[in-house]
Amino acid sequence: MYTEKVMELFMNPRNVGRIEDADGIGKVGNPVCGDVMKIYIKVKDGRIEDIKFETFGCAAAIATSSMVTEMVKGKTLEEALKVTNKDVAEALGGLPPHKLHCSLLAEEGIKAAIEDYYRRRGKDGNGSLG
Amino acid sequence: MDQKGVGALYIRKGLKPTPLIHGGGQERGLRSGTENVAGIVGLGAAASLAKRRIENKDEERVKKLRDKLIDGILDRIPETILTGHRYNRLPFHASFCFKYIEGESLILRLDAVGIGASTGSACSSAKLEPSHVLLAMGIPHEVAHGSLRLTLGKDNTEEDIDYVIENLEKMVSELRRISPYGKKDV
Repeated sequence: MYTEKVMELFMNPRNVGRIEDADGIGKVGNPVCGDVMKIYIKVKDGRIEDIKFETFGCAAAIATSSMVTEMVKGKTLEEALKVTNKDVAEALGGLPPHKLHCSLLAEEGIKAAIEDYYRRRGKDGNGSLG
Repeated sequence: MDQKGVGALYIRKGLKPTPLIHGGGQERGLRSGTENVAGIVGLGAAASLAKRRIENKDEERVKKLRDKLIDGILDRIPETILTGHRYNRLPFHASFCFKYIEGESLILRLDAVGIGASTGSACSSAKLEPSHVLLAMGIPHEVAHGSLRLTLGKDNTEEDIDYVIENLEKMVSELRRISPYGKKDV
């Protein structure tokens, strides 16, 4: 049901954990529905210098979390905001139809973390996000 | 024994049941229509198999393995709920909820080491709701997502049980490391 890439990242996810002094934290999803993703970012000079995630969810949720953190690490915030759920699903070689919402969660998670970063910095930009 | 379309009926002396199907008077007029020969032969085979299992005391042996499995899991894995009664349950059945993790990821990791199990988590199906049975038992949604069902058979051994407990302990703790729950907030 899952692609090799999904299984590989599910069995050996990258960037698992938390950043204690994170500059932004995004939490999306709902435990009642069975998927929650928490993304921690460290930002330096407008770039995502470090990123970690914690996910409660199925294999697809864990694999998409891992994939999206790899995709945005080192990118500028503007570039990171352009990563879509479709990009994540494609990078994984596709997802089963009823698991596509996991990739949406990944996109929303990154956006929520960046939004939180802006909020903490007191910068505007909230309006243009999400 | 659950064979579709066939069964045995014991009728006490003096009772005259009303037929459900009328017609040619087959099966002493109780169930008219051509006899389901393959089904009848199958039921006979299943009954003799069941008799042999009772004589071999398979059930008692499997029950001991089930108890070892339940005790081992509850003992070694914290924040685990046994669903259903501790003793008044099927001899080959054990089911749990592991807090903070989701069942589909657990069964996929178990599958990778050759352990077949099932879950009532919504993520394993196209629905969004976890097992309605667990919910009706009063288990919260997020906990019901971490459900796991293990079933035993007559050929299972003590070593199998040790293997399952060992792997399960490792996998639950790995998945909890990935999960945002069950830890202090940053």
